[in-house]
Amino acid sequence: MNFILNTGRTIWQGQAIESGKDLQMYVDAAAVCNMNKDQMESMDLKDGDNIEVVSEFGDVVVKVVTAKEELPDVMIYIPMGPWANRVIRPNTDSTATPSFKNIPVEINPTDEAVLDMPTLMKGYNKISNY
Amino acid sequence: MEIVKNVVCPFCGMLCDDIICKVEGDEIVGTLNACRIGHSKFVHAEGAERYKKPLIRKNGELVEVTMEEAIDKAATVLAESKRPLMYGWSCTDCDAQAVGVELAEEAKAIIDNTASVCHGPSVLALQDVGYPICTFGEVKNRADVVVYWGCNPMHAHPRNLSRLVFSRGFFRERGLADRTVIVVDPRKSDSSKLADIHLQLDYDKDYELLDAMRAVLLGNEILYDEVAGIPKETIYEAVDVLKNAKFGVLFFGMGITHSRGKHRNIDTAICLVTDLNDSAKFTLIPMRGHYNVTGFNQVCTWESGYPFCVDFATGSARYNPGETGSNDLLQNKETDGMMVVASDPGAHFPQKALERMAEIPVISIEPHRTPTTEMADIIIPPAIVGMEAEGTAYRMEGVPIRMRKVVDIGLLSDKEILERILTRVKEINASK
Repeated sequence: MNFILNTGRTIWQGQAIESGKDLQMYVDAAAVCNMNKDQMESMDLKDGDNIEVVSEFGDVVVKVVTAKEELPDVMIYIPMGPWANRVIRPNTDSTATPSFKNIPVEINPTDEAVLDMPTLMKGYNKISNY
Repeated sequence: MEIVKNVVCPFCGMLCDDIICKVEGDEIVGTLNACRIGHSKFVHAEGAERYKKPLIRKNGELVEVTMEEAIDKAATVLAESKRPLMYGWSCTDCDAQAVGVELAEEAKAIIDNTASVCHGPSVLALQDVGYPICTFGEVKNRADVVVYWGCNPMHAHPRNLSRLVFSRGFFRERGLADRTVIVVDPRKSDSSKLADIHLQLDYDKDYELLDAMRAVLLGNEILYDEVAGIPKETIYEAVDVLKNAKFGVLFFGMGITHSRGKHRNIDTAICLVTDLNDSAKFTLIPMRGHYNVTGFNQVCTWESGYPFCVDFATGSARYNPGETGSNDLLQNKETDGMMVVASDPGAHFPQKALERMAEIPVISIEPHRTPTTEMADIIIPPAIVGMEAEGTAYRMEGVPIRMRKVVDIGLLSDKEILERILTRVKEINASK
């Protein structure tokens, strides 16, 4: 199903980045997709189900949670962080700033696991320079 | 247990300066007055990895090294890269930032800060059309109309409302009851739930709504039933509140800098504030994220003439966001060596930029394990400014505040680490 992805701060994401980005708290706060209850029901999703979010620019697996801050019908919200940044639009439009908000995405239920921070970053295949 | 009062919080641009820390030995074990996020920064969380020794990634594994080896390797990366990038700077003090600018000039590097993924579009806009700003004191004591456009302070700046809007001011004796709060957000955000007027506009339509409000303010009628999903009657009502303000303030955030239009949205928002001054007194404050992101823009401007995206490749400062921004340089695969200071691009840059960070030597001056250190070849842990080192930071509206040192953990500060790298880069350059 197609949605518009919004990203940004939540207080729980803020608490998690300052507590430790290597903690499970960060995964629980930032590897989540906030969705309106009626949209979740229409896709037969419940809190804690895994979904794959796919955009023109990448894909990521996150857990779906019921939005506490109600969204417009077409919108989903993933807190800022390395999970959301897998799918946002990188182009800066010559302003130096990528487009972090309002990205067209498709979401589908999945059995794939949500990756923790170190495992997610390993996916970029860091080359060891020494 | 020791109690340390009047500590300044090193998290967001609010720079709350009334924090009380409870200290045991060299550890902060509790806080009073801090928000949920600030408290998490002061108090170490069980299980979170804090680096105390320099590390170098050798054959894929991080290995402890001496400070001398780490400094030498870092200096070599900067001195030998053709297009070195020095990014971050927003979670450290102004003196460290000043050494950073000097180091960038010596290394013929590009220096850029987190504004380029945050309020960079606001910086571009204020260069276009001006910056009618005020201080927190004026908001608290005078503001009777407070607008939050594209920002959600209840989550991102948790004490903004309690310090400036709920609180009683000299001319606003009843606090919130003496103020009208307008929130503009496509979501029913926790901040919008506190608003007198919530303009729940369609996403990516901020420019249209701002423009319509300016048109109404200038005496024109709206020819459509609604603009950006907002009924025209609601727009008339909101403009009426704005233009009758005794003292109004517009706080704005990523909701308009990151959505379609970017700096053009801010251009129009600033012009709206300027127009409002024909009938009211109106000001604005950008909701800056990192506690000293504003400080870097100040320091970099007085050192180089430009606030961010400054390119020293030719030996003199050159400024062209869109070409000399960190994301432009990484995504275009121009940068061949990167130093990250006091920020976390690993967590906050898009996938295409991280793909380049994975290919090139990356130095990270960073106290904790982060997505950036996962991509780093050299990690140098500093003392944390505002907790373990003192220094000056600029609050989001440009007021400089001295940050306190609460505990001593015996690590070098960002400034001291950068000075050592600068000395070594000078030696390498002299031997060329």
